Amino acid sequence: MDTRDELLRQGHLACPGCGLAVAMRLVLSVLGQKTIVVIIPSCEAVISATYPLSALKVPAFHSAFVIAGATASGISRALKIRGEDDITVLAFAGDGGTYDIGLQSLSGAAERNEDFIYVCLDNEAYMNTGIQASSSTPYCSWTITTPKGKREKKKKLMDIIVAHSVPYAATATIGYPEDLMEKVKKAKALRGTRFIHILAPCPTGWRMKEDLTGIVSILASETKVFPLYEVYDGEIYKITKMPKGLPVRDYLSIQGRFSHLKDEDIEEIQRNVDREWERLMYLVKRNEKA
Amino acid sequence: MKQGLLEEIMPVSRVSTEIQKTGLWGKLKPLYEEGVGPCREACPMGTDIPLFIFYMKQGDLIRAKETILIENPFPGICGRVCYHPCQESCNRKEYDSGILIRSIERYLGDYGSYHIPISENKNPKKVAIVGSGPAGLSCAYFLLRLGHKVTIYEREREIGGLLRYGIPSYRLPKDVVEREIQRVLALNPEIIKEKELKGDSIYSLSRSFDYVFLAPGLWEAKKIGLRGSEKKGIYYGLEFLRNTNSINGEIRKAIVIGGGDVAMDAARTLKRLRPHAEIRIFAPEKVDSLPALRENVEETLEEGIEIVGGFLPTSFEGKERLEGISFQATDVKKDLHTGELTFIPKDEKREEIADTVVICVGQKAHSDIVKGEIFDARGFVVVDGKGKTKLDKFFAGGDIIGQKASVSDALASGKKAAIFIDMESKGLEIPLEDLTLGEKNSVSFAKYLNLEKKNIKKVISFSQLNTLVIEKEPEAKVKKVAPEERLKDFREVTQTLDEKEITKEVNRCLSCGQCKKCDLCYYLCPDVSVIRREIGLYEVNETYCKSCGICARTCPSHIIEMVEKDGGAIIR
Repeated sequence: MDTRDELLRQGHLACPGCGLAVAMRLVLSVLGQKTIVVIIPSCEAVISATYPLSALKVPAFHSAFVIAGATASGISRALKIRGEDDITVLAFAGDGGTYDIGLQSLSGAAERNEDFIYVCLDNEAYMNTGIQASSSTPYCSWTITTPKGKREKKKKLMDIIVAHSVPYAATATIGYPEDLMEKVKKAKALRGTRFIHILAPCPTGWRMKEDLTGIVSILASETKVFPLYEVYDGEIYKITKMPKGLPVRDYLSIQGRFSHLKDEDIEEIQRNVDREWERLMYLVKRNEKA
Repeated sequence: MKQGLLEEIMPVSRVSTEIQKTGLWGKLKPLYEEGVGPCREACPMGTDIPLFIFYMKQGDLIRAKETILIENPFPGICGRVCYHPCQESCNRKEYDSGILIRSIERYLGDYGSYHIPISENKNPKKVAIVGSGPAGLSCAYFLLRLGHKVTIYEREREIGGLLRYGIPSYRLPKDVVEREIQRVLALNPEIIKEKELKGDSIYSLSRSFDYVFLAPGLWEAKKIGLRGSEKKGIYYGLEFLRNTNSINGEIRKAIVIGGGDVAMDAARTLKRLRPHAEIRIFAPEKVDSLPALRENVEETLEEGIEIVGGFLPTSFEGKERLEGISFQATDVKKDLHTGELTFIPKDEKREEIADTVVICVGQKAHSDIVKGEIFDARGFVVVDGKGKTKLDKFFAGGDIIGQKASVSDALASGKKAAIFIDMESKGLEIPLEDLTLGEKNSVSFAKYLNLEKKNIKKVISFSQLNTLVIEKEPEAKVKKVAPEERLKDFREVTQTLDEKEITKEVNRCLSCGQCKKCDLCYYLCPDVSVIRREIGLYEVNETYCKSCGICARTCPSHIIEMVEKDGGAIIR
């Protein structure tokens, strides 16, 4: 990444310490000038700015909440018809627009293997509208609609995407920026529906100090809460950063949204995380044997 | 699409967000300021350890070596015999295990070429240096680099003092000493060998020189006035090491008395000279708290030398020749302030058979030298924090000033004196505190030369580092020649780490206070306000920085701190 590749402008209105803004910067810096961005209602819509301002140095199309996948499909096909094959179509959507509201349109596009990169910028709730829970909000997490902690577990979005056998799906976090950029680079080199799931912490909604965004991202990976891996063609799993396996408490205890947790809650979350990690390792090894 | 056409279909944003001065939201900004690792603060020579290791990480070994040579003329020597306080204070000890800094320094010390720049000096002074041990050579090295004229007086046939005559070559090979000393000789000091200066002749040096630096060392053994001390077969530590030929005749049972490095070295030397003799060490201290270097004690034990702790001799038995030694058990109490030891005798007694004893219970200044007002009652030269004696133009360093008797501290005293001689000659008055690192007494020569960009008072502690991004990695294994092999002669026991091990060890360094150009601060700025001019050179754009502090908090080396913006921004 070079100053010349900086495609996010200064002066955007993200909250201080915003993880999404970091993720947008990193993704765009790899994709470069020849990119068309699709944006739907979300914090990204605020960051990329409202009329008449724009924080992006590339063309961006603000679409409806439900149709990031469909809009990106349309633009991608139109470019093909015009013979402009060298332009990357990128959809930026939040967890609300991906896990909940836009899931159908994304699924349809992924089934058809439409040619674009879909980046889900996951801050684990509807932060833009005031911290309402989404199906991405983790178990036990506080939001204004789950004041005593969310009862349901976080939806396993990666499994849903992988079930479409897309050529490339990966998780990433801003805590490991080089890993994140490497994944965007890999995605850019492929064709078809490529999906990158980025954990982008939100100090406002996660109820934590603004300077913790980097630390909490690293901890998400190192505690196995958010493992960093990639899946090729819905089959081949690869871990890109082996976690140290730090206790989940390290990750939970610095976030106010988990401050109400009792020891037994943390132990339960630890068990859940360990089980999920074992399942992931099974998927990795299953493929290694074959 | 042309501007205007698109607007007929839908609203188009064409104004940059840069018109929104979001920096007004926060009153803080990141300040990049490198600091000092605890290793460097602890190093008597103030060597910038994180910096030279950083250059090694980048593969620039020449620059790494030159970085050491700014502060220390003898990395090859210190890399072998220093008591490595750097390693003891390494922050990584709190993570997995400390960095083998001494082994890394040794590797560089033995490595290839370098260039030593000499400062221009329009008014060079003539400085006499008495003694060519580590203190004298160090003082000469720094004075010569500052453009002064130096004359070194040495009593012996060869220069080097303790380096040549005191430390056996299985710990410090002579060719290493030779090569390192050449580094000082290349700067062209005048050397006068086999010239012993006594009493008044030292004071008269001030007639022909502008300054005098005294570093004659402590070459007379402390005698223990015990019954039977005049018998044959009784030797004294450093004298014995200096002239191992002095020992003659068959030895069946030898005892070394003392717990320091000289005692270990006397025993190990005896073991090499008389492989079939039984050699034991009797130390007043307990075996687990001997003052000798830990490595030296370990190697002594490996070589089959028994160490008995907690005993002091009471008398030497025998007719003309020594036949036995009487010991009494003792407790040692160390005064926490002066470091002086008090021995408290206990009831237990012990008789040992021995035909040879080497007494290594400390050294004092040569009685010929101790004359005049600069000496105290114990025979030490009294100096202030700048190495200056009571007598105008006279400075002193090394063991003669009664400091911790070590090569590194001797080198440090020579360096400090050189700086203050230079300062005095130029009429400068820089307070000592402006040059010392952190809270300790080591001096940054780079700071004196105005080459130091770091804040030398900012010492980085472990808790300030972001170690989440660091992987656990065991320390390198230092290889040693097996005891049965090394006892055949005086070959060096400890091996230099190979390239692979060095690379691994170097990469374990946490770079405390040293920017390692990881770019995390730059990558993780949400507001595009950490601008990277080149790799490792960052600028902050206060106009848009919202004061979040991610950069400061995530930095693995604690380079960044959040400080007030200059512009007096509005508080959010």
